Amino acid sequence: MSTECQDPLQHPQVQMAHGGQYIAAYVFSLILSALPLFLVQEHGYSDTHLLFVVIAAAAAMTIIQGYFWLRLDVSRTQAWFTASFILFIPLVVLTIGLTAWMFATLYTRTMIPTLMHAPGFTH
Amino acid sequence: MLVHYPGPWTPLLGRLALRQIPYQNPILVWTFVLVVLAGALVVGAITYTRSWTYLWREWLTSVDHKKIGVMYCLLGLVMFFRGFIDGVMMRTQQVMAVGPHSPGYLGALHGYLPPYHFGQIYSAHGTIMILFAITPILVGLMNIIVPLQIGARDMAYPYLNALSFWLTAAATGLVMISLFVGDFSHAGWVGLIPLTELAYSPGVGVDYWIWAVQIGSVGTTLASINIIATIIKMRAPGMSWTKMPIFCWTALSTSVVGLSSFPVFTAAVALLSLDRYAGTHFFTAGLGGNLMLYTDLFWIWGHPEVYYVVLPAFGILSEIIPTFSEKPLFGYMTMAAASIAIGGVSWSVWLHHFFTMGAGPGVNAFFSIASMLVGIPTGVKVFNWAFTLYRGRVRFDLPMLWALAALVLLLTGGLTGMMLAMPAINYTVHNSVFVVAHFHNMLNVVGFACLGAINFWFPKVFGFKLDERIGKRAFWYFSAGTAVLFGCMYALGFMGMPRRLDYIPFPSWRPLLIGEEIGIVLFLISSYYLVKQLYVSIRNRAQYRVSGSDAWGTARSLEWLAHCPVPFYNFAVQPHINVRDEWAWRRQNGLGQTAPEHYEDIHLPNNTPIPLFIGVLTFALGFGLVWRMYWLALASLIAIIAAIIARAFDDDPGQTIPGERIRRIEAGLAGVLEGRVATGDVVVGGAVAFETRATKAAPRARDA
Repeated sequence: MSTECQDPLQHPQVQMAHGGQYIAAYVFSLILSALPLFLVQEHGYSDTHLLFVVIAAAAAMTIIQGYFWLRLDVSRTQAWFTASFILFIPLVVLTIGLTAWMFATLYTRTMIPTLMHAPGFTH
Repeated sequence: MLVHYPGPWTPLLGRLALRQIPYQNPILVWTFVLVVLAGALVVGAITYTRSWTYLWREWLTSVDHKKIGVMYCLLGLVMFFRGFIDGVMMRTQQVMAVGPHSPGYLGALHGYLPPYHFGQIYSAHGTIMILFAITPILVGLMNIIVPLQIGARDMAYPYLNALSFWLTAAATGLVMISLFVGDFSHAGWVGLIPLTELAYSPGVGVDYWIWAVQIGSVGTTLASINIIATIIKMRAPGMSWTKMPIFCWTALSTSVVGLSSFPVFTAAVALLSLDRYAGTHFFTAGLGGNLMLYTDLFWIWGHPEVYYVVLPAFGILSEIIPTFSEKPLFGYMTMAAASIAIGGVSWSVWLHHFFTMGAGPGVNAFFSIASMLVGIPTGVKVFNWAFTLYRGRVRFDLPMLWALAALVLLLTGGLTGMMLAMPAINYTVHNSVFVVAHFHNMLNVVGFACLGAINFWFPKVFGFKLDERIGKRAFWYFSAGTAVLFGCMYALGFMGMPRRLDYIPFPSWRPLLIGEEIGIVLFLISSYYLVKQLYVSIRNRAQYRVSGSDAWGTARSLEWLAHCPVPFYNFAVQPHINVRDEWAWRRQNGLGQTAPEHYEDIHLPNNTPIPLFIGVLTFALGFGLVWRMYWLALASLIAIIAAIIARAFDDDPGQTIPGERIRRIEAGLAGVLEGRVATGDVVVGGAVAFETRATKAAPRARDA
């Protein structure tokens, strides 16, 4: 219906495609995946340090993939994707977080022997 | 073979065999005869009136949002009737099978339905009513009204719109064919786990349920995407967010809920189908499976889904009540905020569906409080409607009656909902018919709103009103049925009657069960009047013709600026929005129907049969998977992918309607609208999208 852009190749999102950035993001992803794996296998750090490094690597990867692959920025064509992504974060936190909380208490209280190693089982 | 199930399997027919046709069951045989006769009648009528080409060109291949909306509503109403008959059968079984001395008929020990058949009926009733009746009617209404209210010519993705509809229709077809080929799930509409696992339900019933809800939910997700994109991108110039009609706000909120929650359902059902087809153990009772996880995932979708159906109903009430109170809606901003808030809170309440599962008190308290929080935005809405009515010039037209009754039901349904949100009460009434009475109460709010909306917007789409006198009879019988049936059901719930009983052991419950049966008879009478209302109104359509674009005289939002019936291009000139209640403002300032000097060309998409083909192929895919005819499933899947790819290369530029032609149609419509009684075919054809007839109508109207 919109007569703004009839040629698919002229679409702003298609125009944004950038091979170099995709490859850069891919390389970064490889490094950020390999680094924590290497550190964990080497046992070079204490558990606390390892946890920190793994979380930092995961966060960096999320940002790199979000920016270089999904192009989540505030430009006119992409703002809606960024907004959707931000709105989607609380949903993930709610569903997974509350589910984990529920199962933790559920396992504790229903005393299923094979599940007693579940995170919520403390006594 | 990855899994084991009883019975033979052949490569050609899978599990399908002649003995899967339930020809020993007299109820199904008579239903089949009835369906065949009715089907023959419809096909005969279409052939006799030589309407096949017309049906194909104007409806089946259409991408027009109004026609797709009408087809959605029609599909929903047919399924509403099917689900209602299931309800009649359950009520009748329960009233017959009371006490050990109650007689049995048709092979049942008590009553006339054996437990397995009874289980299929309540499962079908729930699945159909929620997913294949209420949801299509609401999606259909949003389809018709949202683009009109925001001044657009169509949805953002007309082709996707048709595809969503045909996927829903394919899913509905699967539910319907399960009546006569094989059987349907007996595990409730929620898919009670582990009953849905292959070991406990080795038949094809659960498979029918799985593929029907799976295909249907894909259709609904796509429809949600479409509505969100339409509202965000297609609003007429000048329509800022705060000038958007409130129904669009609820449609937006509900579509966000739909888009974000339906994929969870898709995932849960997909994992269940892996259990049943590939022998995995996601939800099995042993071998590392976690059956509570299914319940959790189901309700992560299931509770947002109930707000998915109630939010558009709230939007409908917010449109009907100001129109018949003859004043603007009270508290527009809070109403819009409440719609979004309900959508938001809907994500943190799902666990109240299984308070008794055994989670800790902290968890139950969290979800209890979250569930009660829903009462705040809903309360805001109820007060806003009350203040809209306050000192308004209230008229009791038919849509208003449905809307007001919905408000009363919302009060009782909401208060019992508050009770159920408290874990202590929930432990007491869990799994009793009190819960059933509560959610029927709430879904009746939606049902009343839908019937109100159909009466309210019917003249907008078809150009004539539905008969008021017969409609009022339907309304009163429907209301009486609701009060009697669900009043008795609430009482039985307090007496501790469990839900889903095929045999009632306590004769002391009989009086109230008879009360419920009286209620369902009242519903039956109401459904007769509803059909009669439709029939009489269509027969005498010239008499019910509305003149002017505002069928009710006091409507407020933009859709009432378009002609009744709406031409296929919606608005000849794209409207510019000045205020929130644009049509009311224009009416008051005498700016109603102004003919411009020059009409611009209008660009619209062409019709395409591909969505219909994909729908048929999806039905074949589902049927193949249900019966494990893998060749059929694979062939259909490949054909679907091929159709999608072929469509992508189809460089269809759409059609451009010249401004001159728009001018002629508009001139003809103006003639019809000046109060002259038009002849029958002009009216039905009107312009709803019946493009061919509208052009024919133009000169005739001028001659008259």
